[in-house]
Amino acid sequence: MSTPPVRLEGVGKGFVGRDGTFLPVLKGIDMVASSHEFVAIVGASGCGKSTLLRLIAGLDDVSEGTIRVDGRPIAGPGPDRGMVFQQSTLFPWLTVWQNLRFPRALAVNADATSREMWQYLARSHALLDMMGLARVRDSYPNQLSGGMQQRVSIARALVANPAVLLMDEPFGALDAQTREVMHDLILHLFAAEKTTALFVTHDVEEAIYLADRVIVLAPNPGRVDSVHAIPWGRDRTQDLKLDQAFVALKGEILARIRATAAVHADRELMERMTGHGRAPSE
Amino acid sequence: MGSVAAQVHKAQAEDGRRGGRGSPRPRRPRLWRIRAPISRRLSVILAVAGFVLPLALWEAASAAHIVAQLFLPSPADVWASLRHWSHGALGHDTIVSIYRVVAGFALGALIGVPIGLMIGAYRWCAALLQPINDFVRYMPASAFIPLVILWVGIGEGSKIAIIFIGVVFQIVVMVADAVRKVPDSYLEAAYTMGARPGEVMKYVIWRGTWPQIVDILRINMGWAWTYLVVAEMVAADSGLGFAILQAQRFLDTAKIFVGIIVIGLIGLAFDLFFRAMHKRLFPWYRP
Repeated sequence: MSTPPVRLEGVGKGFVGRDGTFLPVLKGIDMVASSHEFVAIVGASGCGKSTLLRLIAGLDDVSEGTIRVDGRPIAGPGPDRGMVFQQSTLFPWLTVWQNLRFPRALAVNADATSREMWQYLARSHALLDMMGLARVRDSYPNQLSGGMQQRVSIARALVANPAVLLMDEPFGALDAQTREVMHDLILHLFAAEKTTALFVTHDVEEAIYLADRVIVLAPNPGRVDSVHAIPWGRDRTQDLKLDQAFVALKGEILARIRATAAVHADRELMERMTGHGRAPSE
Repeated sequence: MGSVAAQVHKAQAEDGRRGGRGSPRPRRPRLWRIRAPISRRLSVILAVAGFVLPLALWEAASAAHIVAQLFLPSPADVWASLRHWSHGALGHDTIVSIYRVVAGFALGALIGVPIGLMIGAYRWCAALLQPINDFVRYMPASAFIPLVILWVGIGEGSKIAIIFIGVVFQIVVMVADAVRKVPDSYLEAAYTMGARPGEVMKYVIWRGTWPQIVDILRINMGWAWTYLVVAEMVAADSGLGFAILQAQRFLDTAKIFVGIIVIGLIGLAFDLFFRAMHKRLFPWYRP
C-alpha cells in the first residue's frame, strides 16, 4: 500500500493559560487522508478545526503526536502543503498573474530544472484558464470581487503542485450565490486536478457536497467524534442537495455537531451561571 | 384638503415632541453632512479662498494701520522685500537650505528605515531598541545643539546633524508601526509557499510597506523643514533659516515673512512631489 499524503497520529495541541494551566485545544487526533481524497472537517466553533489545519500546514507546532505528509514528518510550513485562508492573502501589490508566479522567485525553487520551470509556467496558465481568471490576469486583487480573489488564492496554492491542499473556510466570507458557483468550480477543478484536499468549514451542506468523507470534530478538547463516508461520486450537481439521502445525511451530521457541541457549551455556561457543578435536567 | 393639512400639522407637532426625529423638515445643507462629497469646482474655490482670505485680512489690517509696520508689514512690503532678496542671495540661501534639509532627511531615512524594519519584524530588536528610541524621540532636537557643536563642530555637518536628529527617531517608530500592520496572514501565505524568513522580509514586508514608507518619508520631509531654522542657528552664514534669524536682528520683519513663505512653498513642492510619486509607484494601493 502506498503512503497516504497525510497521516496524523495522536496529534494534540494546547496552550498554557495565563494562570499556568495547560488548556488542551486538540487531543489524540488520528486521521488519514488517502491519495486524491477530499476530506471535509466540520464541527461547532471552538472544536479546533482551524487549529488542526494550521498544525498540518506547519504554521503552529504540535504539542504531541506526529503529522506526516507523504510519509515524512513535517517541520514547519512548506510548498508540499498549499493553504487557502478565509480572508484573501493575495499580495495586493502584485497582479493576479504575478501572485500566481510568486513562488517562482523563492529559493526553494531555485534549483528547479528548466523543464520543471516550464511545467510550472504551463500549470500557471492552465490554472488561470480553469479558474476563469484569464480575463483578470493583469488586475490587482483590490479590483476583484471576493469570489474572484478566492479563485486566485486557490490557483496560487495549487501552482506548486502540493501533496495536499489545505482550505480553511475558503468561502466563509462569500455570499450564497457566489458560494454555489465556487462549489461547482471546486468539483470541476478536483475532477481534473486529482489533488488531495483537507477542507475546514462550518457549513455541513458545503462539506457533504464537496467531500468524499466528512469528519466531525467535538470540542473541549477537540477530538474526532464521527466520520461519515459520502456515497456519491464526483460528478455532482446542485440537484443533489435536494436528494432525500443528502438531506438525511445532512441531518445526521448536524445532529452529531449539536450533540457534541451545543450541549457541552450550554451545560458549562449553566454551571458557571449557577455556580454549582449541577447539570441542568434535560 | 383641510383634514390632510391638519394631519400633517399634527404629525409634525408629534415629531417635534419626539425631538424631531424623522420629521419632514428641510434637510441641513449638504455641506454639513458628515463626509458628504463636494464638487471639484467648489473644492478649488475653497482652496484658493483659503489662501486669498488671510491675504485680504492681512492687507486690510496693514492698510488700516491697526498694527505697527514693524510688527506687520504690508503684503506690498513683503513683495518688495522678496524682489530685493531675489536679486541678492535668495537663490544661494535656498539651495544651501535645500541641501541641508535633504541631506539630514536622507541620512535619517537611510538609517531610520532599516532600523524601523528590524524593530517591526523582530521582537528582540523591538525589545532592545524601542524603549531607547522612544526615550530619545521626546528630546527636543534644539537641545542637542551644544552637543552637536561639541561633537561635529560648526561646519556643514552640524546643521545636517540637527535635522537628522529631528527626523530619524520619528522615522524609526513610524516604519516599525507600518511593518507591524502587515497582516500575519500575508506572512503565513508566503511561508506555505515555501518562503524563508529572509524572503518574507524582502518580498512581503519590504514590498508590502513601501507605500507607507513613502508616506512616512513625505511627512518627515515636512518635519525636516521645520528644523531648518533651529539647525541654522548653529554658526551659519547662509540659508533661509539663517536669513530669517539675521532679519530678526535687524528688525526686517518683511524679510522674515519672505523667508517663512519661501520655506512653506518649498515644503509644499516636496509634498506634492512625494504624493505624485506615491500615486505613480503604487497604483494598487488603497488605504
